[in-house]
Amino acid sequence: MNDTELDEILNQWAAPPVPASLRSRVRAGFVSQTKQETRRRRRFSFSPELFSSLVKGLAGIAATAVVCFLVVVAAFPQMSFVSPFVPIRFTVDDEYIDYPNDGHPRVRMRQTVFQHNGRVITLASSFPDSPLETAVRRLTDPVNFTWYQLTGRQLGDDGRKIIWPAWTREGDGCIFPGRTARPLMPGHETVLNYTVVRVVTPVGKDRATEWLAPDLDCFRMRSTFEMPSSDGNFYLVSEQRALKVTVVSR
Amino acid sequence: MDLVEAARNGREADLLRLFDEHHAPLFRFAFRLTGSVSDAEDVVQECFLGLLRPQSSYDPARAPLRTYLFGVVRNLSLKLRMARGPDCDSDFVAQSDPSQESHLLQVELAETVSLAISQLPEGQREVLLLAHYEYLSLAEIASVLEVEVTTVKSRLQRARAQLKLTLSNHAQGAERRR
Repeated sequence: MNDTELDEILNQWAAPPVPASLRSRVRAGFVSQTKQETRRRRRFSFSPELFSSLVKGLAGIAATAVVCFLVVVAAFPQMSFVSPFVPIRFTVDDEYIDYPNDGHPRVRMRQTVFQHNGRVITLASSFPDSPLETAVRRLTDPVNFTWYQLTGRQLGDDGRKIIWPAWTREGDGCIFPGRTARPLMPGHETVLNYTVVRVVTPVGKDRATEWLAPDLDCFRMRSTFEMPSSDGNFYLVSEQRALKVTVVSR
Repeated sequence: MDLVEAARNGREADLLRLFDEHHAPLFRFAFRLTGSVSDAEDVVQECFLGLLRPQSSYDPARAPLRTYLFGVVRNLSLKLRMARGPDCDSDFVAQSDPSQESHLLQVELAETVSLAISQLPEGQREVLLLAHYEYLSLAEIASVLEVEVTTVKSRLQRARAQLKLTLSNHAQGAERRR
């Protein structure tokens, strides 16, 4: 038998035609497998993808909330008065004035503050001569306020430092524990229609004077720092004074 | 994106294109290895579906798709045969209508050929089926079976020599019966 004869004999063994059902079987298997694969991918990729999406979503929401909060608080400091964490009874707008030797007083800073547990917390501040510092504080003040609401501390506060002023109300007067034996009572002076206690404190040769309002938890409504001149009189170096009091809750 | 990748991404039309291009020789090869139409169907179906699974080992850089598919069919058929044992029923000669006398000799010859081929050693049988019936080159067969081309060549020579011997004896016997 030669090769040609062998090939002819081998060709007698014909394979049957492909059943028509094979194509539909493969197709059906493909559909089923695709569904299973989709489910498997969903199942196996569910946790990390969902977690990632969740984290991104929450981060986005948080970031948006913070930005909105910062914008709103920066634009409308009074909005902060509705604090769910720290009760704000009143806020005070005040300003700090420097009195240089040239005879031209200069407003160094204006701010809106409130007092909580003897601490003065800044809600908003501005610096008329420094737009950059004003811009920075427009961002940091809300953050500081938020931080204080959450932690009871201000940024940079080590938690032990007592924030001046530490005067507190006792009866109708104000007392500084460890500094005054009994409450100091208000006289006839008023600042913005609030009766005040006047406290004069020598600082070396200089002199610091505070006007505290018992009705506002002894908030410092005004303060001055004076230095002695050659003729023995004191001249004003700097001053802090309240411009407006907003009572939020009584 | 090639057809396989497209089909893996769920495009049914591309899977059917793949199927239409390759299924016939794969089915024939599977049938001749398993001896069963239904087994061949199962093998070919699994061959295509396995190709689409993420864990499929198909790498176009390593082998052409045709070669890869033949290799898969071969492996699946071997597994099937091993699972079922050597004495399973087969459809080798059930393809023609035995009531028609004109086909009797052809059926008998086909049975003889299939029997002779089935008695070849596994390696020789695979080489012969791929070379003679599916017209794969020696290099392609070597790739399917993952052996050297020289091995394929020698197996093919030995298979054909063995078949010449076996089928010559059968032809002489048939001649004597006539």
